[in-house]
Amino acid sequence: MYQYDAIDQQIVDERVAQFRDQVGRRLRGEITENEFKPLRLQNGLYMQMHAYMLRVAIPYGLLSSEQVRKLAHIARTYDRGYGHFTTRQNIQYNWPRLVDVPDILAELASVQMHAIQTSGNCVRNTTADHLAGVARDEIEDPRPYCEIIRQWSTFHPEFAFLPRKFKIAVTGSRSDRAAVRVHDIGLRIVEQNGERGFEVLVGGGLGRTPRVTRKIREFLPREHLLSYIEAVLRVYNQHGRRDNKYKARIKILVDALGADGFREQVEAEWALIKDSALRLTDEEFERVRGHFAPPPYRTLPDSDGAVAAMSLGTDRGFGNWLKQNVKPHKVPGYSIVIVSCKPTGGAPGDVTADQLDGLANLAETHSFGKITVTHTQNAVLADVESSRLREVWQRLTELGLANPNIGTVTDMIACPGLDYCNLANARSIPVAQRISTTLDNADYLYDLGDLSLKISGCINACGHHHVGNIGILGIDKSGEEFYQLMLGGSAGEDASLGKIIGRAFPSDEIVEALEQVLALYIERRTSPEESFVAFYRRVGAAPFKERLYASA
Amino acid sequence: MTRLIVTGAATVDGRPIYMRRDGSWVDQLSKAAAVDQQDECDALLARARSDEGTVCDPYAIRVTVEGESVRAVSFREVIRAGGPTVAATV
Ligand code: SF4
Repeated sequence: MYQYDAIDQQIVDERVAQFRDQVGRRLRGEITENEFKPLRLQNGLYMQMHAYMLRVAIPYGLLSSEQVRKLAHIARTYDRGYGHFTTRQNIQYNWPRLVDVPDILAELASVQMHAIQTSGNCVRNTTADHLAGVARDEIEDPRPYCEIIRQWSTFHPEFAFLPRKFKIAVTGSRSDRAAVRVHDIGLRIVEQNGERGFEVLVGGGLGRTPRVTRKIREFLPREHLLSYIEAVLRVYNQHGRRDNKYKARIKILVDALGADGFREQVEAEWALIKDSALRLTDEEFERVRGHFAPPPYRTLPDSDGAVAAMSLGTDRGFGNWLKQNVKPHKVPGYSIVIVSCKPTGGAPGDVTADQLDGLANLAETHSFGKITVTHTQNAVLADVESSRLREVWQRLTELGLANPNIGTVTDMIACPGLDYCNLANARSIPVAQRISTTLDNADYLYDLGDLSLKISGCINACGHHHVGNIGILGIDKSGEEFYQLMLGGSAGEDASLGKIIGRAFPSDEIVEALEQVLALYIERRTSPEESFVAFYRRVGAAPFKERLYASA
Repeated sequence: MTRLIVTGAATVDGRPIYMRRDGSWVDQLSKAAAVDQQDECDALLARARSDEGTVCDPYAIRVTVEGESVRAVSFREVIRAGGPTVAATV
C-alpha cells in the first residue's frame, strides 16, 4: 500500500500542530464557535447531537494491521470503545472530546492517517471497489489511480471551496461494486485497442435530488486522468450554484447544461491544460503503482472445488459462511473473506476496539497484514489461503464478525440517524436492528437471495436508500418518526433509483411492511433465480402497492 | 403546559447542556431553568450567547413540566437529553 514520503508526513504533522493551536485558542475562549467551525470541519470534526464526531479518512478503504490497531487504540483511549464504518469507506468516532482531538490526530499521523477533507466542500475520500486487486473480473487495480487522485486533490488550492462536497469513485472491474454511477465523478477503467483508460461518468449522486451519472467520455487515455478531472472540477467550480446549497452539487449543473453541454465546456477547458504538468507520465504512474504490487502469494493449486466441497460439509454454520461471505480470488489457492459488521441486532458498521484488534491480528497472520473497509460498512480480508478458511471463520466467529449474511437483506447499510446525527429526521439504527432480528433465519435469507436494503435517517441519503433494491427513508411527520419505502433501486452497473411506493409507515409498522414486500416477491417470482430487483422491474410497483395499502 | 429551556453543546466535549437561572450549566434537563415567558428566555439566551467558552450554538427548546418531570417536546430533544436509544456496541 502507499507509504507516505517525507513531504506527505510533514504536511500531515504540520496540520496536526496547526489544529492543536486552533483547539487551544477555542478552549481558551480566544476564538468563537463561528470562527472555529470551518477550522474543525476541515479536520473532519463535526458537532453531533451528543458529542463531537471525528471522521477519519481511509483512502479507498485500505488499512494496514498497524493502522487498524491504532484505530482500536483510539477507540479505547479517547472514545467509547468503538468506531463506525461509513459509506465512504471511512471510520467515525462518535464521542471524542475536543481537548483530545489534537492528540488523536497526532496518533493518526504516526501511522500515516488523518482526517483532512473528510468534511466540507472539497474533494472527499476517493472510494474504490473493495475487491480491488483480487477480483476475478478486474481489468486493473483502481487503487493506484485513487492514490494519484488523493495526492492531486489533497489541499488542491483551487478546489478547497467548491460549491458543495465532491465525491469520486473508481472501479477497475466489470461488475460495479463501488457504486460509481451515483458519484459526482465515476471512473470505470476500460480498454480500447489494447490501451488502458477510463470511461468518465459525471453528475451522479443521492440526497435531495438523486441522479445516476451521465457519460461524458467513452475513453480517456490514462495519461490524461488528472487534467480531465481537473477540467471537470474547474467547470463545476466556476458554474456550480453557490446561491442555494440544495442546488449546488454538480448533478444540478449537469442537469442544467445537459450532458452534451457539460461535456463541451469540459473539453474546452481540458484542451487548455491537457498537455500541462498534470499529464500522468508512465514513470509517475509506475512509481505509485509500485506501492500496490501484489503480495508474495504462494504457488498453490486451484481451490474452487475444495471450497465448494467444504461448503457442503456437515458443519452448517461454516458452510453457510463459505457460501455467503467468501468470494473467489484471482490467485489460485486463495479466497477473499468478507467480514460481516452486521451482527443480528447490532448497529450496521459498528466495530469495537477488540474487534479491530482481532481483525488486525487476523490480517497479519492470514492476509498479508491488510484490511479493506467496504462502502457497505463491512471489511475485507482479501488474501486468505483457502486451506486456512476454517481458522479464519473460527476466529471471526469468536469476534462476532462472522454472521453469514453478506449480500442478503440483513447485510444492510444504515446511517447513524437520529440517535447521533444532527441533521436526522428519524432513527435508522433501531430500524436496522429490528429488521435483522426479525429476519434472522438463514434459510429464509438465502431463499431471498441477493437483496440490498439501505436505510437513511433523512433525505441527505448517507445510507444510500435510493439505490437499495429496497430503500427506507426516515421522515418527520409532526414530530413523529415515519418511514418511506422505496423499491427498485440498484447501485451496480445497472444503476437505478428506487421509487417511493406510497404513504410512509409509522415506526411500529415499517418492519412488517418490509416483510410484506419480501413475501410478495417470494410468492410471485418466476423462480429463485429471478432476483428481487429483476422481479420489481418486471412487475412494477402496482402489486406491492396493492399488498401494502389494500386494506387501508 | 410547555415552558422554555436554553440548551447548547458543551464546547469541551459537545454534550448537551442546559442553562440554570444563575447562568451556570447542568447536564440534566430537569435541573435547568424552565421559563414561561419569551422575554425571560431571550434574556437567558443572550447570556448563553456571551458564554462562548462554555457552550456552542445555544438555542431554546420547548419542554413540558409535570411536577418533577420535565420532558422535551420534540423527539430530537428527547433523544438528545437521554442519549442514543441504541446501546453502544460495547
Ligand atoms: S442520511 Fe441524514 S440522518 Fe443519516 S447520517 Fe446522513 S445526514 Fe444524518
